[in-house]
Amino acid sequence: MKNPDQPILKTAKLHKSYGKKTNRFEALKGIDLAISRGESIAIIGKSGSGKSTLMHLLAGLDKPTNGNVYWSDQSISRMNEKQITNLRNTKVGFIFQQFFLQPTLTVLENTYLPLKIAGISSHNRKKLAKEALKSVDLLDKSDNLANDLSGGQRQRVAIARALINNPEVIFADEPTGNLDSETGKQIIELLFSLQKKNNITLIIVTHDEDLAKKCDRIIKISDGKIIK
Amino acid sequence: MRTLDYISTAQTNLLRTKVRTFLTILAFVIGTFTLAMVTAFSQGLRSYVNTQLSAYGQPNAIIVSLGSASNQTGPNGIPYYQPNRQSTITASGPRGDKKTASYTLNQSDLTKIKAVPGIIAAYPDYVTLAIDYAQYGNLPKYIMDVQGAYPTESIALAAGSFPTISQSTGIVIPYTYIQAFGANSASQALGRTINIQVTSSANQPKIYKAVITGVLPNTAHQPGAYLANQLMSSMVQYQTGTTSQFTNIIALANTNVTKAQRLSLKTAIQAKGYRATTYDDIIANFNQPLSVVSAGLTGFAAIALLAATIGIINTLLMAVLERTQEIGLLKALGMRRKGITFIYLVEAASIGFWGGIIGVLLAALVGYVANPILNRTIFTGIGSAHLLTYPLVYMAGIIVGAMIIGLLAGTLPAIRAGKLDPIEALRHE
Repeated sequence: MKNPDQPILKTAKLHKSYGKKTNRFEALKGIDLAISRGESIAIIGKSGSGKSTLMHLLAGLDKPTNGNVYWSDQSISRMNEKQITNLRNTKVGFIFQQFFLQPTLTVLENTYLPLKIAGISSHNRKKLAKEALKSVDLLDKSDNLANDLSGGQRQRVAIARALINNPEVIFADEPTGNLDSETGKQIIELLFSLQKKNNITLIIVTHDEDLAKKCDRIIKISDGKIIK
Repeated sequence: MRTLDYISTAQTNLLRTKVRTFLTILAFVIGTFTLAMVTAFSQGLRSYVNTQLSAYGQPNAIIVSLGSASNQTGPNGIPYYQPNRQSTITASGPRGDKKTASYTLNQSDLTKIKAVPGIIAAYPDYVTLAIDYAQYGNLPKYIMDVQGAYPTESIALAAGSFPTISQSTGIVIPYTYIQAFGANSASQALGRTINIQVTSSANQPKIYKAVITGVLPNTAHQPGAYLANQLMSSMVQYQTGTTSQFTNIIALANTNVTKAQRLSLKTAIQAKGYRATTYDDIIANFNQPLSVVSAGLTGFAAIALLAATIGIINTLLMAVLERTQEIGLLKALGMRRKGITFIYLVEAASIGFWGGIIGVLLAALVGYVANPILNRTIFTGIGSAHLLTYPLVYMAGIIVGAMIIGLLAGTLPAIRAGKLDPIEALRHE
């Protein structure tokens, strides 16, 4: 049994720098962070503060220059490509500002993409995708092309896609950034309700103060350091 | 992803840019179509040649002559003068030949050849015989080439059969002589007696009677008439005054002799100091220039394919560029580097596959339309056989080859796609 008190995500002296020698730029300058299971966290900060870099490192999309990211005490910085892609495929959900749906695929096909990558059979992934679409109230749009949906609907498909692999952590990068405020609010409500229902750890990178306030905890990043 | 998912994803991806995919495949089709046509043509021509040759030679016959053993020739194969072998035979042929000087074989050679293990019979071959004319009833007189018929002749005749031992005056006429002998069909010509005039060295003509026992197949190039051995011998005796000297010996093996056995018989005969020409040698003589031509044409097809390959590389590089964000997403969602690479390789192989299959089908369609026309016009005499043939193995080979070329062409774009950094790729606009 996993210890429920044990942090699901932990960082130790996390450093990330880009470029070499004179062009060297330090994006993160030692981040120590622990995130519990089921917690919702907002990472805020100005553009260029390093908040996106932090999210990428937490999600295993990038490797730290120094320090470590731990998933339940397992250092993902030491994982090989196969292990880390497998981790993202099975334990992580992503929601992006630009939705990143494939325009020529149907809503259903977009939703089950992570399961298709995982090699789940066509029958099973369709069944799971329908369940996920039902939870975001888009089951009736299953066979529509992603292109034919409104912005809000697209983001709901993206949420369904993020939920489909029953993830431990969902990373949301400016999830309301491309939506009008009313739609944004609805998306956020949906996201939080699903997060609570499934006890998922939610990590949101955002500029949006209102959105950040809804989270259990706010981490403010400035110049590559946590200042609050 | 599952293998089937890779294949279906690749097809879906190709359909996203229909025009571009179509043009890329079209370029490939030009190459595979050319290759399929070259194959169809050279394979067809080969079997056409073989069909034609079947009227001339029989697989179990070996033509034996003098002149190849090292003790008979000097530098560059120039034969030595051998007084006891050289003979001058006087004959009057259709081209006015009066004298034929040649190396001759005799009964002792015939005995030696018969003694070769595997040779079941050997007959003198009087290539020197030339008749004046052949005539049926009061119809016009026609010139005609003649040669000896030997037992076990295996040519499939249009009608009738080769003369048996008892049919000592039998003749098998060329297909083209049917009307000349007053018949309307091959079977109608059977049993007719024709007159053949032979002139002796003393300029005395003599008429021989020959009964038509068979008609040669309708091949484009017609060999001479086949005369029963006894009739042939008596004509030669009359014309040249001797049957004990002859230019060649026809050595016969079993009718079911294999190619390997033919080769070992050839070696055995050569070891006795003779020159031996097998059926395979005749075929090879015809096929060699054919091989050269088809190799040349294949080269042109290869150039077309090479150009199409560059098209595939270009198309896929563009696809990788256009779908950079998508690649980033797939990677973020947990697709491995090699998975991404594989998607693009399957796309490349698919272009090759479609290019191959369309090219081959188009070529087959051309054959379907052109074969009956060719059979009626230029390449008559091959019956129901087709000039353009599409052996399944070769056609499958072209398709597989096209897929392999596609794969090779796709390697660079596919590796490039696999290497993309997910964050950079997602930021790409």
